[in-house]
Amino acid sequence: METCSFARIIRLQDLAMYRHKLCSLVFRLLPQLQGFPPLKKFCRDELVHLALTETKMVGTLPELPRDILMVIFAALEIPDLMRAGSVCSSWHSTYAELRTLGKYKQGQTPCLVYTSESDPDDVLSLYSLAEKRSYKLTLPQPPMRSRLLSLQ
Amino acid sequence: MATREAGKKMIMLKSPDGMEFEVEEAVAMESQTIRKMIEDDCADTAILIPNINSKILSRVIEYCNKHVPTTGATGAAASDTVAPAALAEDLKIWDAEFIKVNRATRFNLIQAASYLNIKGLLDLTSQTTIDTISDNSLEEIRSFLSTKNDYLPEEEQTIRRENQWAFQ
Repeated sequence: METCSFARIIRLQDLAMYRHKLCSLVFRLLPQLQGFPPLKKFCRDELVHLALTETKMVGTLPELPRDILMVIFAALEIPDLMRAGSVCSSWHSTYAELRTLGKYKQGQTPCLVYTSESDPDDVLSLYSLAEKRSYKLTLPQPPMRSRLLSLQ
Repeated sequence: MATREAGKKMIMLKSPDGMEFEVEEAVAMESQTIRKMIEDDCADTAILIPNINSKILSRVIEYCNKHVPTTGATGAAASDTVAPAALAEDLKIWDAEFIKVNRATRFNLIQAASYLNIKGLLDLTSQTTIDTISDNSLEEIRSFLSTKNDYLPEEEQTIRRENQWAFQ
């Protein structure tokens, strides 16, 4: 699943026909576009880390079982999910698993993906209808805007 | 053990800390887990509910009591006089009050609802957690849920950088 390549961006046009998939595609592609290592590698380190911390967590506040956390995460909008996945290490590994399995909320509130002339070339904007605010993503070169234009 | 009181079948639930709760069968059957036990005739003696202490179990029973179909425990009189919409509205307000508990209790309730398979209670408790996460910053989520940040500073840096846009 994580082997998305830039080639898939070229298919953005096709995706206009399957708008509901666009959001999850952007979500999956982002780490690659931004030049980060695939999530899986990170996830493996994470498990080791989790094993180390688990013992010291015993006896503190009750933790949500992983399966329930999965249910909760599966109901979140993607930006919320991103934040929730960074709360602590056990939440992060649940988030990573959710992404690997592709179990995140399928009926995402649509996001408008656009570029703007007032922004630098490599900035992609996402307007989230759910939150009524926009997010700006800086993508690696070549500039996002020319990449999209070259599709025409 | 199952006894009869005022013509209704009673079910005995036992928490691991030794408390016993006698509830009407209809109330107990709000839990799909217990419903299965009753249907399979495994409920003749007291049912031990592992992992759920008496404090949480009593709250769960309180919830089931309120949510049992109105012909049952909450009394037929109520459903005769009040319109269903008003009743649902009432229940919503009651739920909102019910869920005003601290984070530890809420997480325990989620676990109990999951184990006992009480859909309404699981939805209610999870939704509250979802609402806490939605539209809040990372720091707010951590403080609302009193979840410990167990990252080393450099790990947190990596994670934040990975999805930097979501932290704007």
